[in-house]
Amino acid sequence: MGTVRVINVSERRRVLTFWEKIYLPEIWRGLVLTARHFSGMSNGMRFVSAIAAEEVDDPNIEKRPKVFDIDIGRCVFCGFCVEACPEDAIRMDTGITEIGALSREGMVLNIDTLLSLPPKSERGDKPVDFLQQQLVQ
Amino acid sequence: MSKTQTEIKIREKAEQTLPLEGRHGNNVIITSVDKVLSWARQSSVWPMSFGLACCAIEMMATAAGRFDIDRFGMGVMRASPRQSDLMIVAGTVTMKMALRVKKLYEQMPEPKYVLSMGSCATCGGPYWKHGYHVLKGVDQIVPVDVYVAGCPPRPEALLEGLMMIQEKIKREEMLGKKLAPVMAA
Repeated sequence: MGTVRVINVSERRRVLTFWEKIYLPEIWRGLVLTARHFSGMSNGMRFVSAIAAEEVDDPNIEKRPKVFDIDIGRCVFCGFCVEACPEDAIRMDTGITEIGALSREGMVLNIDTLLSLPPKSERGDKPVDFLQQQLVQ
Repeated sequence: MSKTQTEIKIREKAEQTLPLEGRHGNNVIITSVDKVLSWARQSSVWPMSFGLACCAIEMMATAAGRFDIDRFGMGVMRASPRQSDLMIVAGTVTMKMALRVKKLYEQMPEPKYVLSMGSCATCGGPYWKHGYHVLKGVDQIVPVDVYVAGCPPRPEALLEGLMMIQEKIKREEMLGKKLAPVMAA
């Protein structure tokens, strides 16, 4: 058993202020949020992956990925990131659907873990076992 | 005092204070009995029968005929926390439900295990940013043993998580473990 970080959930019941009690400003704030969604101003992406590029001195390449983290624990497998990626750097073709981990950190795949995955031809029929080795720590 | 002398002193003190099963460390009898106990425990993990959101539908599908967690001895869904070993947190843990989840966990007898099923229970899922009412990860209130990814996870994924629980139980020591934390101190 790991250490338990206890948060007191009941403490959230605080005393409401006057403006919260009359309720109308909150409704207007909610309407503004909804209107933003309709007009496309709100960014509804879920930011499962954190990918960023950095510039390097090497003249042969322009940029290289600095952060390339994919949080499988947060992922809902919608595939939006695959569609949005301009360089086709993200793919969802491993066929791995059974993913479990013993720790929260074990579900974040960083660039080293992702690079160490062998190509599909070498993984054979059991890709699950290989990813499991990466996830179970 | 050198390190070995300290260790001997700690061991002597542990032998005086610990119950009988913790006094002798690991030997062939204790480890053999441990293996039998672990085998028995891992083959009869009883999950608690409660679901919070759509992951519970997948949990029901896992318990039903096609996937059938009875094969792993986990088919006995208990309706009472007093009789269950495993809590499958299947779904979105809202702030209101978090109190109940924690209470249910505290009512379970030891040894107990928690499986966080799906991204809602793991980190808030789709509500991770704007969900004012959602607990961002059930690991903030109870210790989680296994996380399962998916939204909701397929029954195969839940089975994978359950088998990881079994593997974890298999590696645990019931009799010899009591000396280990004392020696590590």
